[in-house]
Amino acid sequence: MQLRDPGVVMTPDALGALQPTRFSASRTLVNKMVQERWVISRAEFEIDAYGQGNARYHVAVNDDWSFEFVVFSNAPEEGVERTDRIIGSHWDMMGALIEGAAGGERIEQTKRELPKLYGGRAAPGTLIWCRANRSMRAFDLTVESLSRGEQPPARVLGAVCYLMRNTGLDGNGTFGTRSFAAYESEHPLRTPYHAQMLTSYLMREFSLDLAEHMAAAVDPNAAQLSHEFRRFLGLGNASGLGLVLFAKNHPRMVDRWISLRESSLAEARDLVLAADAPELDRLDALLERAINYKAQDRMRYTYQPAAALVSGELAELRSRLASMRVSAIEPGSLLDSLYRASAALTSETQEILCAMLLELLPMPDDMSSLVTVDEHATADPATPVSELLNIIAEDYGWATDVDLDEPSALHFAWYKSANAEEPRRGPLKDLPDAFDDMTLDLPQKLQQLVPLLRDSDPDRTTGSVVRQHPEFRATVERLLALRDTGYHTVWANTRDEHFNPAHIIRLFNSAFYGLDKTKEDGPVGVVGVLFHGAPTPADIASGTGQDWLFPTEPED
Amino acid sequence: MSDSKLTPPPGKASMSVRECRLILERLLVASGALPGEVPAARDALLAAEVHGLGLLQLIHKHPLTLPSQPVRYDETGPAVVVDGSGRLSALLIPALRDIILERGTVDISVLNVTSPELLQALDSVPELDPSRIQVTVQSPGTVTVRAAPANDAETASRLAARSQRITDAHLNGLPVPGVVWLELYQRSNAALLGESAETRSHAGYQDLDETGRIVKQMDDDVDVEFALQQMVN
Repeated sequence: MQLRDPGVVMTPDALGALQPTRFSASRTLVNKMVQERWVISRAEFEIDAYGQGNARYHVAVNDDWSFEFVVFSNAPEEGVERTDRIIGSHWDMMGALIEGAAGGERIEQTKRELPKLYGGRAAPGTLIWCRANRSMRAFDLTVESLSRGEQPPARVLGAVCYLMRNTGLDGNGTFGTRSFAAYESEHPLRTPYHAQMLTSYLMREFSLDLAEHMAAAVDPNAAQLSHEFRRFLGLGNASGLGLVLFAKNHPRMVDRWISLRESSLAEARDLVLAADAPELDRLDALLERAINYKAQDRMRYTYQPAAALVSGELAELRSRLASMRVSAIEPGSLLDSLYRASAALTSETQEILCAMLLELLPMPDDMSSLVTVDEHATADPATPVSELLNIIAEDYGWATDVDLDEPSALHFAWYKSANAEEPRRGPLKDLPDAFDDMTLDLPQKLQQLVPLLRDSDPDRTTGSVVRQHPEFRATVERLLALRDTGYHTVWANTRDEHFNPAHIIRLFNSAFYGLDKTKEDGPVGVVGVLFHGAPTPADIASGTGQDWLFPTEPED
Repeated sequence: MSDSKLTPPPGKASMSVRECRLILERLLVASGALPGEVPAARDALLAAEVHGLGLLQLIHKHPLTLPSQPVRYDETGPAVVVDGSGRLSALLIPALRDIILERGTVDISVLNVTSPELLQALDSVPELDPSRIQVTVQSPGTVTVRAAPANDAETASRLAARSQRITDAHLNGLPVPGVVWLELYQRSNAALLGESAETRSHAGYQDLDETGRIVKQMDDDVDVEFALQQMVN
């Protein structure tokens, strides 16, 4: 089976529709934790009735590795800059994931340094710093319900599916945290984003424990969250423009993740299955769960299709699958036929089907090495100009065809603020003449470069061209370094006034990290739910709960 | 979070490779480097620091400046002459690397550069693992770079030595006095945009008053409000 063309996959709309899969970081982490039966325990919980105090969680992986998650919890305050943005100055909780037993000295250093963020330095052995805010109404409603001895109303909590929302995870060398490249080969968190995901999982645990604790402070006879609720409630997440810059700076990683997904999809579509194959039973069961999940989905989406529509389309696919099995269509083409049928539906539905098809394959043995990528790649300066022109003609027509005379085409510039390095984009006309313009501006760059190359000797080396025109070095090196990959760059003019960054943010949130129910938040942001339906620590310790896709809403 | 909260890390703090890369990139932008030059120049400067050549200390003492005159190349003969027009030598590493890769065996005379010893960092350029590189400082502003293909054993040895340097840097960080760390960080911030009500609105959130202060409601989960209303109704 041929892989899907980058022109189909790499448009913003298509990337924004990609769904969480078994390759998403949160899912591979849970898979690993369950398989290895990690033991997560609450080592300390010194928090008052208002939610102020400290907590500490211990994660035992095996005899050689353990981690601790230290939490500093605050009561939400009015009149402070309490926001999901990094320029804020108050969060309801801050925490750090630390290797080994945290110990008094490292906890004190973390408590002292963490609130400073850019001014602080993490304690030795710190992997991640994090911060989160409560979902006020959902959190308070949960505490109220539990204190009355009741479970919270699912019909309300189902509108957000979390009690706390992550607003920032910093690691990999930031603020003195350990560099990912320094993680030992046998390190349990050696897969990209597993340290961030473990931290998120522990934030989720803390949010649930905190709600129960505060309810018990109101009434000692308060109820605890049911197992169903502890599975159903995840950790909220809010993301902004930084992920668009991340996509620009990590083209090989983007390519690797999407290639892995696309090649697996092609393999799944090629599976030869008898009509009564267990894989088709599994697919049918997943479709049934997804239909119900989408029917229960209480999120209000704007640019994405309504959940009810997606549920109906998934039901169509399930009926079609049943018909195909009965009519004994060519076994070799059943899954491919189903995939092709989904092309007539919304891209959201089609990508949910794709995610399910991947479930039918065996899990790769070594996810860590599969998704760990060195962004450095050689750009051969001996490449002749004629060859570079061919690369541009074959792979970058989407960029050279952009009409730069359109008034909207060169509207935005992307940059970071001096205050907390917040990623932003503003109208170019409103920005100063000189600043660090971080836009990946391939349309404009290539439309300047191509005439220059055409005027050059076709046999001249590209190295020689960039020595004479150093302003094109980054563009030429990027093109040459990525020439053997296909899924590296978003096919979009990110300067354009009409470019919607939410698609790219959603790509990372959904497909890479594994957030469910991602939706737009304001003009450009994206919110979603991590570990929605994921097993509890008790499930993990007993080696269960691995199959947690499409959780059912608890009954009121 | 205001930059005024920054305090120098105590003693010889270690700077992570990632932080070093970011700071170098911003210093280059602040120095007026062409945007297309920045990524390769940043990596060259980083290679010089990782190689142990004291790049950070150097640009702390002598802030990075970029002459307006371009680099000039004479590639007409068997030997190449590169005139750096007064640049820091490490900034020529990307071009020198390319010349070596294009020619395989070549003698390059590098003229009119500062801190010519930084060209030792050619040994920390991954693409040059298969090359035998000899860097000889002839005079304060002149250096000769001689390159030829390395044999397999030499290539393996160069790769091993380079890998060890970068691994050490990732494991232990790049040791640098706290005052240098802080001063370079603050200087590099010149590449970033200052704060105003207008720029604070460029992150896409609608949560600011006319002065740029965040005035977001305590509970922004409007969907919960909606669901509560539905439940009441």
